[in-house]
Amino acid sequence: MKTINNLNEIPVRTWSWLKVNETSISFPIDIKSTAPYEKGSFIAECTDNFKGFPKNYNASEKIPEQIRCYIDENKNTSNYIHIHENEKLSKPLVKELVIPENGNSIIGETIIFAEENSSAEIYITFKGNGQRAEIYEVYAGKNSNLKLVLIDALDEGAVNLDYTAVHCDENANVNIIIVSAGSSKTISNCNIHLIGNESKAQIDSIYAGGKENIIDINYRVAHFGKNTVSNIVSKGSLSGKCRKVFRGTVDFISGCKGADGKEEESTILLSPSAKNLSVPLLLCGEDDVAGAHAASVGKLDEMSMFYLMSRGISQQEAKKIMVEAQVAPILEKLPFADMREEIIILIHNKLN
Amino acid sequence: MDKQKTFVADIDRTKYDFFNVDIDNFTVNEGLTPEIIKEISKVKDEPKWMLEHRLKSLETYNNLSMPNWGPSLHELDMSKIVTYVKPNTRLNHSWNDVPKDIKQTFERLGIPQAERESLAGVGAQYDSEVVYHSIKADLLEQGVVYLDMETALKSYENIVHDHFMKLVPASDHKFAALHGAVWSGGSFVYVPEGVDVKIPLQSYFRLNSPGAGQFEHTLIIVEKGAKLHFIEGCSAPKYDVINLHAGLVELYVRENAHLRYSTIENWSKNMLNLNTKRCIVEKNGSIEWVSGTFGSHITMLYPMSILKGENARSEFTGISFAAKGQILDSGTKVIHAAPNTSSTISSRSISKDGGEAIYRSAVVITPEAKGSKSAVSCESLMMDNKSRADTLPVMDIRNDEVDIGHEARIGRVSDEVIFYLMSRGLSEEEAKAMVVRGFVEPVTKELPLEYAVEMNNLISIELEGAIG
Repeated sequence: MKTINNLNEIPVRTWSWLKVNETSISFPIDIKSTAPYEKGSFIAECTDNFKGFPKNYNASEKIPEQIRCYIDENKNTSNYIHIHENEKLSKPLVKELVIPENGNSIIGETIIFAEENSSAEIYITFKGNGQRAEIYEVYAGKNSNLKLVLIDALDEGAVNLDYTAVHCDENANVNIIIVSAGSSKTISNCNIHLIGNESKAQIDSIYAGGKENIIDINYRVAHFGKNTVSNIVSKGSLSGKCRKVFRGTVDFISGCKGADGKEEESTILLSPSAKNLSVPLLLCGEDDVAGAHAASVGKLDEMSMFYLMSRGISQQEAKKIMVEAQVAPILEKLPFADMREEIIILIHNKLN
Repeated sequence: MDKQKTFVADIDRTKYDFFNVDIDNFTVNEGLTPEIIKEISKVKDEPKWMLEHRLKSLETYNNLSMPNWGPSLHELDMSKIVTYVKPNTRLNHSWNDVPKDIKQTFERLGIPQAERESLAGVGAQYDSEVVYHSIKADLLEQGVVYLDMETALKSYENIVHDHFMKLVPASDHKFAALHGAVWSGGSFVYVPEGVDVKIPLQSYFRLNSPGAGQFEHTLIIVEKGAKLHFIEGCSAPKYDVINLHAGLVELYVRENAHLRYSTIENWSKNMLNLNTKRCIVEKNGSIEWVSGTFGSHITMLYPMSILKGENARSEFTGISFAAKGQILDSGTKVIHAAPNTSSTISSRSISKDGGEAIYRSAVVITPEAKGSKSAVSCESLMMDNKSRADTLPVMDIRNDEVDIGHEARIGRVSDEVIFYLMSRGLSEEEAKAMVVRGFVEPVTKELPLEYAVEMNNLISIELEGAIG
């Protein structure tokens, strides 16, 4: 096994006894080079064709060197998605990456370059059993509109690691949706730099964990530009002996006048043995901003449960309805009924 | 056109920044060795177990590393801090016997006056030793004990032995170990079962010598059904060298007892205030922390409540005001370790002129703490873009029968609010003053009157121009 330390490091450290400052992951060393099977509406170019982002891109500075080395050594897939200036894709790009039976991993990097005035929606689902380690580097040019949806639908037993680094130019609008409801251990990281004035970012996160799953999340939006807007929304439910750490950071860098950043987390606990850790950070070096975060943790609302059960719905069904209702606002952003349904099934599988 | 900023004046420190010529009769050499520890213990004529405790703590101190989180403490050179400074006086029970320069110091800070007016007992510590101690006669009759720690160690040795550094062991962190090795002075309070101490007890600490450390130990035991309000205040004059304050507070709140612990800290800007406070609360008991942090160069202070008994409660209300050259890293920790425990945390911070205010907290709900509730609210007010306000809360929840809420906000004074208030006939200055006072009001209203007045003086706010 190869262990990589210092992952998902919190931007400002706190007491070490809480064990939230960072995490680590162990991968097997016998990585099979067999590429994942691809199914879907688009085949991206190889990253070899990538000529490099504009020089001001530095959103990926938080990706640990060890992860880059590991991916470079073991890469079996790579994607380059280039949306040209003024190009507005009328259809979403949808793809499934599946670990084949004679393979054991998805290891690779994806580069998404959305040039000025472009717009695109990209949906990628990961399936199969093994390990996934991927980096997504995204550049959203001036006035671009980009939605990126990553769904971890890997099998129970799989190990998942993803790092997403996003740069937003002036007035760019980016929505990243990450669903963590598959693998037994997941480390998910997303770092967005709002560089251009008036740029906007939204991170939506859905997670579900059961058994002895480990879900370790670290999302950060850094406001550099003026009048930038961000929102981090995380919703999830935990059962079994699952351990979840959610770190969400809104970082106001000095000079980001007029910026507005919010984060919100809600967690439903379905088991007395689940461990739920939340670390919502607000870092502020500018006075002319509005920042807020809110978190709520609790069991299912008894009144709502009672109501549903009084209408003849079993306790199990009532639980399902409540969990579904919690994630519904994020699922509504996905235009495909079968994709929404698939996520609901993933969540239920985790909670049963 | 640039908008003009709200101007909030620095705290007027002239009241605190005076110092007396250092004529102390006994100081140990700079730095920390077993010999120094033995010397301190010998001068104090301590029991053997205390000397052993000190030496063991020193060993722990040498083995522990500095914290790898929080503000940088690189300015701290322990070899230069004089650990023990004994003022040139013996413990006095009458104010008239206190030496003149020390008396003047405390008179300028208003201590005896406060006692005359309302406070039940006053302990005043100057450098390392308690110089003045008094308690009202009727409390004595009820069995309330309020002593300096050294006297308590002699008169109530068993109680001290059973509680001293049991809540915060030396192994807790490096500065707890340091405290265990060199502690000196502080207060001991024992409130017997059922006694309601109706007026607050007060203790005041002042550090006068340059380059000295103050390591006072406060031990309070509130027995079943008893009630107490304890107030501590701290200050020091400004010298160019770094001073260190590593006090330790241990509070025991028994069944159905209630303790309110208020602190106004206004150390000078050369002070590293690395204080540790912890309270254990038994069944149906409650602890209330009221904490105002204004002074110091660096503060790291997080009073901790351990809710050990069923239905135990804790409440934390804190305010910090970070101005130029200050890093105030403060907050609280709550461990819910029994069913139906509850906690509320309310924190306010103001940052200006490059000051950094950091709110840091941990709320831990153990698997046993079914039916527990916690509500956290923290707000930060930024006065300019040279300053910082960071919020670092952690929630660790380990059972599903809980109700936890957390809210935090960062912002500046809103133009709309000012506009509204002005449309109702207030002048711009009045409107701004009202907003800032309103911001700190949740804390000031929790303080006794004389402290609320002092705090209002501390935040002497001058406003000019528009809020921007």
